[in-house]
This record gives sequence, C-alpha cells and structure tokens, in this order.
Amino acid sequence: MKIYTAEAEVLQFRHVWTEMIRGIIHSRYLAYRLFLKDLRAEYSRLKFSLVWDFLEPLMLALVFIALMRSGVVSDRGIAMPPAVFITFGVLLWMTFSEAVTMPLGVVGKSRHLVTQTSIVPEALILSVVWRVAFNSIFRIAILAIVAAALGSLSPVGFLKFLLLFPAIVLLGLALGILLAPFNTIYNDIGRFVNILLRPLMYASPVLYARSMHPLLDTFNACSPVSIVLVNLRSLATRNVLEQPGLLASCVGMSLLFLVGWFIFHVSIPVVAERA
Amino acid sequence: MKPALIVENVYKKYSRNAHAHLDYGIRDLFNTLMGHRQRLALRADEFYAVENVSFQLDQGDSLGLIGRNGSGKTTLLRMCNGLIKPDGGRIMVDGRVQALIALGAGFNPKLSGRENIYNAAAVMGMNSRQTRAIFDEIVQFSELEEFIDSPIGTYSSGMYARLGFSVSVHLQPDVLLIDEILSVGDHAFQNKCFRKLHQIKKQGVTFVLVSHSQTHIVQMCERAIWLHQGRLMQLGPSTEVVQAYLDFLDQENLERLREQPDGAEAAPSRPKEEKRQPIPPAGARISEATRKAAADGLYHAVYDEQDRVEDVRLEFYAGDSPVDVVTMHQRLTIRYSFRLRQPVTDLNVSLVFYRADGLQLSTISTLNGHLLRDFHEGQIECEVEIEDFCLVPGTYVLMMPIHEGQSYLYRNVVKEFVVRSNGRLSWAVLDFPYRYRVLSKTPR
Repeated sequence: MKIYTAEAEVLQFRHVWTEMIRGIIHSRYLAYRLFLKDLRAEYSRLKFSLVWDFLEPLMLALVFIALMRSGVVSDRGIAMPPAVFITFGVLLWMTFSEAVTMPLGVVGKSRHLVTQTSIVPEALILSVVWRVAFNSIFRIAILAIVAAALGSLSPVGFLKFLLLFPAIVLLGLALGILLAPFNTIYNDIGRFVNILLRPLMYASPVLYARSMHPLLDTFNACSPVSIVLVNLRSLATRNVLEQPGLLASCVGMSLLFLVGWFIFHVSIPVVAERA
Repeated sequence: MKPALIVENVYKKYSRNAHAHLDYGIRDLFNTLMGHRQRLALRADEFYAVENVSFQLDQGDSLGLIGRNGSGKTTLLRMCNGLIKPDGGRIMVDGRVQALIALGAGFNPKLSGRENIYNAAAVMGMNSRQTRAIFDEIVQFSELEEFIDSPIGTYSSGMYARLGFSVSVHLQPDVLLIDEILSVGDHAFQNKCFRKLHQIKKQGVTFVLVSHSQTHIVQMCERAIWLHQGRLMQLGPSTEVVQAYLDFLDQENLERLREQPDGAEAAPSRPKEEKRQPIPPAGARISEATRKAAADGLYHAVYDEQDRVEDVRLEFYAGDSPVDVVTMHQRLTIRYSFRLRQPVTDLNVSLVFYRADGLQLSTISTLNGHLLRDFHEGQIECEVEIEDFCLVPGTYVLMMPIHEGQSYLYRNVVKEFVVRSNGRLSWAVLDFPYRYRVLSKTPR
C-alpha cells in the first residue's frame, strides 16, 4: 500500500533507498522508451539523422588537424600531437557538459509526464544516461579514429579509457541531478550553469596542458573533472595515468552522484506541482 | 471489503501569486531536504485548495466528485495519484493507480499512434510483451486501425482523445481516477467510453470520477462527494449529493439575482392585490454578464432603440406573486406591456427563451392565431399563461422581439430568471410533465 503524507521522505532513509533501487530496476524499459521517444521525435524530420551526429565531432577533429598542420596550434609541453590533445579535450568536455545540462532540463522537458502521470524519477535519470551514452558513441569513435590516424593510439590504453569513460558522465550527471529540482522551480540555475561551463572549459586542461598561472594549476589539480579528463586522454594515447587523484575523484563523484540521486528522488513530488 | 483508497484529513494549499508560488516552492524544497514536515498554516497569498477532506473507498467502489471550477476536485485527484504531496493528512492507496487527468499525457505528436501506445504503457509499468498483449484491443477500441502508424500530430482532437482514453482504460489499473474527460469525441464514442467504464466497474475496479455532469455522476457512481472551495460539503449516495449540489447552485443563482444593481429583491412576496400594480420595466434586473452576452450577440440580434416602442415592461408571476425564481413545473404567468410611438399595421410580439449559455429553447409568438396583427397604436398589454413550466433548473434569459412585419421595432433581453428544482432529478433541458405507472413487476 502506498502512503502519501506531508512528512518529509528524507527521514525515512531506508525506505527511500529501497524505493530508489526498485525504481532503477523497474524503470529500465520505461527509460529506454523515453530515450527512444526523444530520439525518434528529434530524428523525425531528419533524412540523414545519424550522419549529423557523426559529422559534428568529425568536423571538430578535422578543424584541429588542419590547424595543427598549418602550425596555428603547437605541441609545446604535450606528449602527443596537438590535434589529438585538443580533440580529446573538447569532445570529453562536450560529454561532461552534456551530462550536466541534460538532467537540468529533464523535469521541465517531461513536464506532462511529471505532472500528469506517476512516473518514477529514476526513469528520467536513466533516460538521460541512455541519451548521453548514445551521443558518446560517435565521439568515442572519432577519438579512436583521430588518435589512430595521427599515430597516438594505445590499444590497451584505449580499452582502459573505455572502462574509465563513464566516470566523466557520472560526474556530469551528479552535478546535473543535484541541481535539477532547483532548476525546475527557477530556471536561473540552468542559465548560470550554462554560463559557468564556458569559462570553466578554458580554465580546465581542455585546450592547453599548462595554464601558466599557479592559481589555475592549483584549481586543475583539485578539480575532479580536470583530473578525470587528463587521465582519460593520457590513458587512450599513452596508456599512463598522468595526474594523481583519480581514485579520490571517482569515489568523491560517486558519493556526489548518490547524494544527487537521493535529492532528485525526494524532490520530484515537491517540484511536480511547480513544473 | 478491503479498502482501496483512504483519504484522511487531507489538506493542500496553493498561492494565488505566481512569484510567491515559486518562492514557496524553493522554501518547501529546502524544508523537504532538511527533513522538516510541510507546515499547514497559510502563508501570505495562500489558500487551501483542499481543506480537511476525508473519505474511504473499498475495492470496487465508485465515487463521484462534483463541485464548481476551482473547488479542489483535480487537486484531490492528483494527490490520490501521488503526483503532488498533501500539506496535511495522509492518503493510502492499495494497488496500481491510473489517472486520466489529461488524455494522452506524455504523447509525442511527432511519433505514431503505435509508438505512443508503447510509451504510455511503459509509463504505467508495462513491458514490451505485456503491451503487445493488449495492443490490438487498444487500437480496436480507439477505432484508429487505419491511422495507427501515422504521427499523432496529424490526428484530429477527437482521434487524439480516443487514443488517449483507449490506452488509459486498457492498462488494467486497480484504481482509476478520471478527471472530466468524458466529453471528448463524438456522441457514439462517448457512449462507448461509458460502456467501457461500466465494464471496468463490473470487473471490480475502484474508480473516482470528476464531472460537472450530474448524469455521469448518478449513472456511474454509488456515492459522491460535493466539494466547495476545497471543503467537503456532503458525502453520501450520489443522487442525494447531486441534489444538494443543484439546490446550492439554485440558491447561488438566486443570490446573484438579488445583488443586481437596482437592489430589487428577487421573488419578493407581495400581497395579491399588488398584482394590479404597474408592471416593472423590462430588463431592470439583468446581470452585467448577461448584458455583455447579449451585446456580444449570444442571444442573436439586439435592437433596443426606443424610437418606435417605449416603456417596455415585463414580469413573471407564480401564483399571485411576481418572481425571478421559478420552481420547475410551476404554473407561470407572464405579463408584459409597451407603448407604440407610432401606429403599426402588422404587429407581432414573441417571447424567446434562451438558456444563459445561448441555447434557444422555445418561442411563444402572437403569430400563432394572429393575436396582434391588426392596426395598432398606443399602449399594448398582454398576459401569457404557461400551465406547467418544464425547464430544468438553471439560469435563463427571455428575449422579447416586437416586429412590424419583418422589421424589428424592439428586440432585447427583458428578463433573466432562475429555475430551481422541485425535488425531482432532471437532466438535459426539459423535464416533461408525466405520470409514471409500473404495470407489472413479476419476478423471473
């Protein structure tokens, strides 16, 4: 028997976690359908649907290769061709950025479902995971092609890269679902995050290996997204872990994800009436 | 019988102010995350959308929810479905709940009917295999076999609603919550929906039906709740609750008429001899809403220039007293008078009855019998007797066209009046005067 009260669910800690795990198990098919629904709706007016998904990262990679060949970007202080360095940096950042922003808007986008059906919150989270994973396939393929074409691919390292890749998605999702309930009420949160992500990309080791500014270097040494990004790139190309703190970052982001998930789950009934 | 739905002292509050609504949302969210219980006390600009409502439904019970717009019916339904949290009290639901709050909730117009069926079923917790098992039944019921692979954005609103209803009722819920959605589609489909709901009811599904239609409530539900401004006014057998609600509406209409600008009391009880007093001016106690509706053409043409006719007067009499409120099946006398400013040769007067929403109901005209056809001038005064006034309870409007041949000399609303119930349940527009005789009741 389901009981709805004014009591805050947070206090029923064990019950909430049971519901969350049950939600994940039972909403797998629904999440897949929601993912398919959004994808098909997006592709409904596209003749070359998948081509565009593949073309976007490909064009970025080709631009960076062309810039490298023309000498605009140099290989100062990096142990790989600058086109590989920048392509990995930009595409990994795009994945992180997408994993942050997609959950932020998922409640608003699914307003009808949230306000008119008793949808399980976990279905919304899983549908975002599906979508980010789908978009990532094209980026990973381009990364492998670019690294191989420029002679920087480490086959063993790339396998490790694939295993570690979900970490950057998890980090983005953790931040996204943590802020999503607040963004459902006031969209200022989403606006601020979108504005913040752009300068953060330039502050992070996406385009440059070293910032030449001690404050930024300290920031990057502590930033989990920088740590994961740098190590993903070095693993795929040289099969080494370049920056310390990966394990701590992974544990930290996992805890953050669990907190974000918990907050998302207990907040949905509260924010649904204001979605 | 096992309870399927228990609602105990439930409260829900909302803010009237859009900004405050969001500010309170953030505060409530923080309170929830800090583990604080939602406070029941009202904050600035807040009101109770649902206030201290309790009831219980056993498995297979059916309950109707009636009340005016904004009385809290949909809010209560949403809380029963767990879509929003109560601010006080508790709701317990046993079994799978399906809410038909908006037909086709979550449908994507770019996708086909087929894909939307699978998506809607997934939202209800059905997997692909379970959906395949009921897919044909859903399509057959919706009568959309031919269009099931077309994007639903190309469907008409009726087709969209048919698909939405069909999906919702075939998902095998234990508790079905239906919010005023049975006015969709054509009449044939509405009947089909009702047959389906009766079938579901027979299968033992518990349901709560929100409707403004007394017919739907009485036909579908054994019990009913009347909500007013969030409060439970009455809970009991549906016929009794519906009757109490209709009496309340009558009373409200009566009070509205009493508050008209000239301050005239509706249905004042005056002594018999006052019947011979001058008839009051026509249109003296017309509400602003009716004046506006008339000006907007809801009751067709208006010609109120007093250039050819003046001093139009009209009054209703029930028995010996002038009335603005007529009891159903009462004997009614209408007296009117006017003065012609110039002689006319082909005079006709009609009394056209409209329901307040503009539905034309009946016309009494002097054309029948050519009562006023000959040459006329000066004052005209007539009386019309209606033996059994059989309009059902509601608010009505009387238009009075005065013609000379095909030309209007005058045409305007001359009376706004209320018909109240005489205690007999009635539906639609008319309640025929009848005598009912049961000729035999022989057991099989």
